[in-house]
Amino acid sequence: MTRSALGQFEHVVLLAILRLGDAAYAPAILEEIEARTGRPASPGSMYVTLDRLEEKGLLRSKLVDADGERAGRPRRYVSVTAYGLRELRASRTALLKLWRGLEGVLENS
Amino acid sequence: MRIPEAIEPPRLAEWLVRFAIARSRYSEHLLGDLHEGFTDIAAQSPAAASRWYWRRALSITVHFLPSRLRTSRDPNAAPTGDPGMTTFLNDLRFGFRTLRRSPSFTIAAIVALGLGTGSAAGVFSLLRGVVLRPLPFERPEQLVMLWETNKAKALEHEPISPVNFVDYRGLTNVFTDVAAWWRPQINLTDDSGEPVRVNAIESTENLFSVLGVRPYLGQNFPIHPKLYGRENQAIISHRLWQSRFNGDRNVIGKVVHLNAYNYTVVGVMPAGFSFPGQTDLWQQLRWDVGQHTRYAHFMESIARVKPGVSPERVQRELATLTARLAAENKPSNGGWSARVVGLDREVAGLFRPALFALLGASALLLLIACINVANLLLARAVARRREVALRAAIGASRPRLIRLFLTESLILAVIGATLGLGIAVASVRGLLAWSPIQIPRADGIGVDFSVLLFATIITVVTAIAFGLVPAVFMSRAELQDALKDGTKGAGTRGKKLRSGLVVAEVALAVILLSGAGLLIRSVEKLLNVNAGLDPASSITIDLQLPDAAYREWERVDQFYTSVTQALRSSPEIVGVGAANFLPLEVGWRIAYQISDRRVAPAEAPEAQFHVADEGYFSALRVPLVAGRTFTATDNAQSIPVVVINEAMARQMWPNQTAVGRRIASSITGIGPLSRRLVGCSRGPADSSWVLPKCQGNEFEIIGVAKDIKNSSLRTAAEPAVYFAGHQFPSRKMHLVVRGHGDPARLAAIVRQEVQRVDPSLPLGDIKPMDRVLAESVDPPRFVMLLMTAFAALALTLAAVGIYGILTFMVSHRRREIGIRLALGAQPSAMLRMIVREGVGLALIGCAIGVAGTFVGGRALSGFLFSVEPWDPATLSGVIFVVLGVAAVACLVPGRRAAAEDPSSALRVE
Repeated sequence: MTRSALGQFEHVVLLAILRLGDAAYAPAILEEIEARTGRPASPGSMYVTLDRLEEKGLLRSKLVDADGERAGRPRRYVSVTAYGLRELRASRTALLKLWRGLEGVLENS
Repeated sequence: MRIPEAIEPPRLAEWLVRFAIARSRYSEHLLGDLHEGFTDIAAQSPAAASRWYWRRALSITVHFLPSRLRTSRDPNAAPTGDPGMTTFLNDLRFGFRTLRRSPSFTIAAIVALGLGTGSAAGVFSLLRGVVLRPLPFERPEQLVMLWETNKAKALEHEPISPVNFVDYRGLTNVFTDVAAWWRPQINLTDDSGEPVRVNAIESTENLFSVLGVRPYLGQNFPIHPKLYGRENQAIISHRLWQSRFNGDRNVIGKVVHLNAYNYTVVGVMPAGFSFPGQTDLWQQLRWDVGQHTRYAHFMESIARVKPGVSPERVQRELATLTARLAAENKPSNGGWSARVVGLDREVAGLFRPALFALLGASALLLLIACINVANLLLARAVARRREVALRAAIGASRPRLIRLFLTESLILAVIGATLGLGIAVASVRGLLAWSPIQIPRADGIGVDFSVLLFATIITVVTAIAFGLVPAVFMSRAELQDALKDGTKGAGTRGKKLRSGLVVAEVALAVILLSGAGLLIRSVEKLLNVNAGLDPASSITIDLQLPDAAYREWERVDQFYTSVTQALRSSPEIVGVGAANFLPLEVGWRIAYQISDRRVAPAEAPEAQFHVADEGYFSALRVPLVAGRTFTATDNAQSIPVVVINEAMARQMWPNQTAVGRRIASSITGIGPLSRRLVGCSRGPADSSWVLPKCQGNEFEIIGVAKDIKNSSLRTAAEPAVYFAGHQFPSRKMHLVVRGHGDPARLAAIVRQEVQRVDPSLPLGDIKPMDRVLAESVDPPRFVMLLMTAFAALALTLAAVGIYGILTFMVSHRRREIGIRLALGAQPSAMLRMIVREGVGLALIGCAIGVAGTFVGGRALSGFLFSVEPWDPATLSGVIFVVLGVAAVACLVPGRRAAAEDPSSALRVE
């Protein structure tokens, strides 16, 4: 929480990647986010976020050769690293701690 | 013909993304993601896919661009103190500030440049979309269309005959393969809905392999050795698949009724493919081209030339072959030869020279705009002499000064070009949306990377063109003089230079105006050509009766008889007729004999053969010169009769009467389209290709009709013979309906009557008759419209130029004018003096411009009709307009001079 707090969008992207498992590549991640949150994510910021998360070591990329529909261009699948999982866990714990005792607020609104 | 592209992501958007993510390790992967999503959506709707791609591209660009711009500066670039860059940035800042300080100058310059670059970029985007863009086929540069020619008959673009096709295909040393097709009119019916008329071709089985295009769904036709088969297979377009079959993938294997025959759909072509023209359905050929005839020219043909074989070699081989064929088959092939035309030229047609001519015109306009801005800059140069002198005095070198001024020009050019691109996009869209003119390949016209590149290049070139002269001129300002005083003696050199520029402007405007004037006169003359008929308040509808449902020719005749009779009884309709060819359409060109003057078959005269019913000539208000027209009783039971046109009567019976003479024609039918019923024994009713035996070949001429133009507006009518509709019925006919009320109302009445007689019959093309005539004038009219717009802009810019220089002159000569007025000169004399000056410049410009027209007019000669490029009426009209506008442009500065108050004028330093 203190060293490298995950941004909210980073958090969302990492969770979507975990949900997709082996099938996590950019278009699928965008779809997953929209399907789960009900709101479309900006493709541009998603790509930027993927690059940043990889730079921070929270995820890694696997490059797979092209198939037909992509004009011969390779695919980039991403997965969350162990470090990424640790960060997610820490972020969740922190959020849960903050939420503790506030359940009443949720029910009333 | 219109050939849309295969579906590709928008190039500009892709380029944008590529630029923004150039530094990313995963750029290829990202582009792949976009391509994949685009392909998915494009299968449903190409337009939606483009929008989607653009949205993604913009989002990605917005997010990646900041880091891209950061990284592009730092890695190996020189440290921030780069002197060249700093100077440039300083100049840029300074330039912006100067331009902001004189807004009226800046706006005038930007508008002029915007119009100039806009017109050039607009024309270039048309040229790129229609002419320069490669066709969406494999190695399109190898594809050629094959046409037959006949010098003696002045024919050079004729469809080929089926048996000749087999010989052409045999030229395997120059052609990889050759395909051919013809265009039957097809009614499509199936279990799912209304019958529709579709654009169809019946094609040899190898068409798609010659083009190198694969179906999107399903498969190509099987290719039999003789290129035809009895499988009755059909391939449909992506468009028809979407509109008729809702994009259902199960369409493959479905049986549809084409002219009431059963065909199996075996393939769907990719989105955008509709070759040739706007074809929606390709039928497998089901007859043997080799067993047809060499006499009938009705097939279009495309060939793929072997790699490395030159067009000249193809032409030589064709010449040898056709010479041999002509010797071996004298009656059918004598005089005939063949030629090839590159597919790209064929598709663009007249629009190719048209667009090149327009590109030239827009270049002239751009030049005028540049001159205009150069002139404005020169005017400012005088005002800025002090500034320049000061800069030079404190150490600015000449190159340094030139650079400073060029930077200002560049700013102007860039802003002007941006405005111009906006103008280009808007006006090209407007042109495509609002003009009735059909432009080939119009759906691929737009601003793409190459158009942007073109705009960038002309921006830089124009900046230098209009900036250099003033920059050099200014940097040479005599230091001492300038520092001593601001206005006096501000250089006769400047004035001379500026006058020269105004003269050039006027000359260029004269060239453009004459071009526009010549085209306006040509189009006007073409539209006023007497086509031989009265097109007002009449429409035409074409109908095609399906072979299978109308097997008996009596039924064909009955159908048209009952439709036309019912229409005649409608109070809103005053004339109804039918014919198998419309005016300006070429009928069947067939040889015939005059009964009492028979000649050898090879020497037999030729005429166009048409079928017309008894109402046709009166519905088109075509007068008869002699004899009578058909009646309802000229039917299969009465004697065979024909009406001929005046051209034939004049050719064959000059100064004699033609009525009552007889001609002989062995023609008994045209494919499945048309059959002669009179004087013939009945053939088997159901076999559309077996012709009946006819004993008597003679027809009596009962009337001579005034000529109707039957090939183009530009040429005289060819001799023509009309068969009677009841004696020679045709499944395909064009109804001609004249009446009160607008075309839509007339069409509704026809639709109602046709539906009453046969509810399963769709209506074909519906057109006002005047549109039928006007369509042939479209290409010259297109050039005329744009040329006129360019000429009007050119004239405006030239007028502004004249106005500018005279205003400058008046303010410069205030002192002189003041003295003259003080000494008793009349104010009107001052006005005259100024006008004389301005009109004098315009006169010199006119003289040079007229000389230029002699050169430029030749580029337009292909579009001119009965007007010479040096048409004196046009030229004098242009000169009159130019001098008039020049005089008006003189008035404001002239009046200012006349209204000068001598005392204040004398007080000027």
